[in-house]
Amino acid sequence: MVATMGTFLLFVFGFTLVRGAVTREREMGVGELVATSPISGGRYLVGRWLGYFVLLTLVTILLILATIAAYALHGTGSFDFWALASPFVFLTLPAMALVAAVAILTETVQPLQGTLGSVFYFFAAVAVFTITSLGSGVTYGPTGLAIVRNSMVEAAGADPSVFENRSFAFTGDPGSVTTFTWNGIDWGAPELLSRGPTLAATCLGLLIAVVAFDRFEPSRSILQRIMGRLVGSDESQSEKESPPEQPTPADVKSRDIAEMTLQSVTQHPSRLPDRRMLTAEIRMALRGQQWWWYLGIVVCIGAGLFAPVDTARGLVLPVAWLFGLSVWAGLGVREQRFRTSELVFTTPYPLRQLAAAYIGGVSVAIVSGAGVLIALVLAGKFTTVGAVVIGACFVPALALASGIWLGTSRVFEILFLSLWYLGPMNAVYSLDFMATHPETVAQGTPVWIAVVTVVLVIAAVVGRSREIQQ
Amino acid sequence: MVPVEPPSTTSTPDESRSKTRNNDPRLRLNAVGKQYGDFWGVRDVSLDIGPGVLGLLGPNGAGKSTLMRLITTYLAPTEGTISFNETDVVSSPNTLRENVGYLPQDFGVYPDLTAKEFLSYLAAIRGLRRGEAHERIDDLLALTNLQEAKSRRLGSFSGGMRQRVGIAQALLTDPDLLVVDEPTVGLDPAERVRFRNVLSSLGDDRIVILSTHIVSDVEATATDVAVLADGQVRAHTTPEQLLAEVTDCVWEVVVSQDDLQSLKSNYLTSTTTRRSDGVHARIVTEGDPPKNATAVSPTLEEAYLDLLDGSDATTSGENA
Repeated sequence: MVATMGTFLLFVFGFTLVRGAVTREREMGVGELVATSPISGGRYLVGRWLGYFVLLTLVTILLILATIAAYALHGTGSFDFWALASPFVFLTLPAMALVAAVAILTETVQPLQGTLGSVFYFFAAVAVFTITSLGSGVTYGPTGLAIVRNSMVEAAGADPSVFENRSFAFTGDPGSVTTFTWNGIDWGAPELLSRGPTLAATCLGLLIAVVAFDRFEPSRSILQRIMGRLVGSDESQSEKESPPEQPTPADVKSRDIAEMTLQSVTQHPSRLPDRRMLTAEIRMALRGQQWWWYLGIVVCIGAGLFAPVDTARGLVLPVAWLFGLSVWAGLGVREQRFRTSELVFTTPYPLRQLAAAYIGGVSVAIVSGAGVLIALVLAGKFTTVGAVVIGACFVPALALASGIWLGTSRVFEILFLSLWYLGPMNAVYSLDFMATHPETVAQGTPVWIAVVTVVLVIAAVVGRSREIQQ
Repeated sequence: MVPVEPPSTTSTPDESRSKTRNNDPRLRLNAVGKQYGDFWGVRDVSLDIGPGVLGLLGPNGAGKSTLMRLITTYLAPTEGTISFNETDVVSSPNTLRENVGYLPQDFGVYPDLTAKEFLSYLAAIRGLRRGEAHERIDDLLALTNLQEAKSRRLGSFSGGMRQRVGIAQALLTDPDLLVVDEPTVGLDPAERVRFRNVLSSLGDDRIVILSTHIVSDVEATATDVAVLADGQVRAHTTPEQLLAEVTDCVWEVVVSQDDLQSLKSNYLTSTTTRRSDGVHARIVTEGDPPKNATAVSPTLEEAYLDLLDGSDATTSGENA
């Protein structure tokens, strides 16, 4: 059971744990050293994949040790190490190999390199797990849930078809269930062969990553690289034949310093962010978004206005805020990621830049959900409007606090996606920070969301203050 | 060799020059130290700096960048005080932040922004009004020869062009205190000369602190020189005074390639240049020079090497 739950958790969250080494090397300039070394792209990526896989294997070993400790405390019957460890070996480790390969893949395929990769993986992982856990015949799923379930059903002597579309559950009433003896999975050829598709998917993922890998050279598109490989052209030769970069007029132009006069300027710093600063922060936050991102926001605003208000609230708003994720993910980590801390934190009243970034984040949530908010106002649901606004304040606060304190956007990404999946989409009302369900407001969830928001804002301010004057 | 006396109290290169006009900016560091764990990045640094260009020299790891970060309030000192225009900058950092332009040694840019957008963003968070900022940015783009590239994304800029963007942002606010850490790294010779001229002219009425390994940059621009080693100030003086310490101590001698190693082991050798008649080597010594040695005028680099006694700092290039 620990193996099943551990595999599921590592399958969904292990990606966030390991992903980032290739991206870091790209951003920090180490990639140039790799690119100019004799190592091939394939060997480099397989090496990186191995690193990710080893890390996930270490976590798996910790899970095995935890299982043994749990057995020592609460276990019954004779101790059988192989029965405890074998599911980790045959189920968890192949799944981790796939997770590591997909992490590599999303770091090499350009469109997936940022937040989009995290979103893509989260939904793909949840979808794959859901699909492969439905039927007893789907034993080839990456987490192998069906193998464990089938083995238990067999041990219970029950009709397997009764358990179709069923999973595992906890109960607080031990008397409501009957017990049976299960000696673990009997690993035969069908069980072992069922891991084949997962390992094949791992190899395929790595293969695609190797083909897509730009060797830290950003100018060539994936299509150009694939064509180059297909026709077998010598890349280094073609690069040599390309014309050398012409110096721009700016490089060759020379002006006499004596001619230059700099007009004096006066700073007007204030403790609070002004309109100009807010505009600059919002422009900065939105920079780099693709055209389809803006189209998506416009569609969400329109759909929020014209869809039935319950649909707008329960479906359009979650989708709209999913678009905001890529913007919020940059909050709190931008200065560290792009090494601009010394430029930004030595400005007068640097905390107002934090305030401007936060207000910018809230604005993105309000604007993307503007259609829904207007529809709610027109429907007279002012309490819900307030709850949505609290949610709009909560998300950027979470992004800022986690970014500043943890130095990475990945934790925020996985937190947001998990909350988004559990709260708004699966009606866990206590986590429904968007107030997409009427019960959420009735249960008073927005109140604690507001409290958490205040705590997160304070945490962000304290964290940034520490960064400003170390 | 007579080492320049390390300053026992607050160090000023020339007391007469400390009598400045009332509205001139003044930066004072008093026994400043910064500790990282058990290691002191800088310690007991006392400097009194007025208008002009202060060249800050020192070997790798001497604490120059730590000192720059302390002065610009990016780091807080572990001990000592820093005041700008008689205001303590630790308790009132905005007094300095409103008046400082800073070019860090290792800084990044936002690759998705153009040069103009990047400068506009920094102007906004520094409190410049829109109209003033636009004019200033246009001037600075011209000054740094980036006008033609102002609409290109910074991600496509070369290292030298990024460095020029860094120089431009340091000058955005017309600062009374300009702190530039290794500013000429990555610049081509023409741009380097241009920037040195800019620094010289800026130093007329404000404080410019130039930290660099390139002694010739200091020689060309600095009115004062401070030498930092092992986190402490070894000298704070004028270039003339530093040079005076090695007058009659610098010699040029021509040796064969085979004798060069022996010469280097016996004398502090600043530069060697290969010629048809042998290797022309410049040495610094207070004692007797080798026979056939010719006395030559010292350079600031030789004075600097002499001050550090050649340890860690023999970085002079060999001119093949």
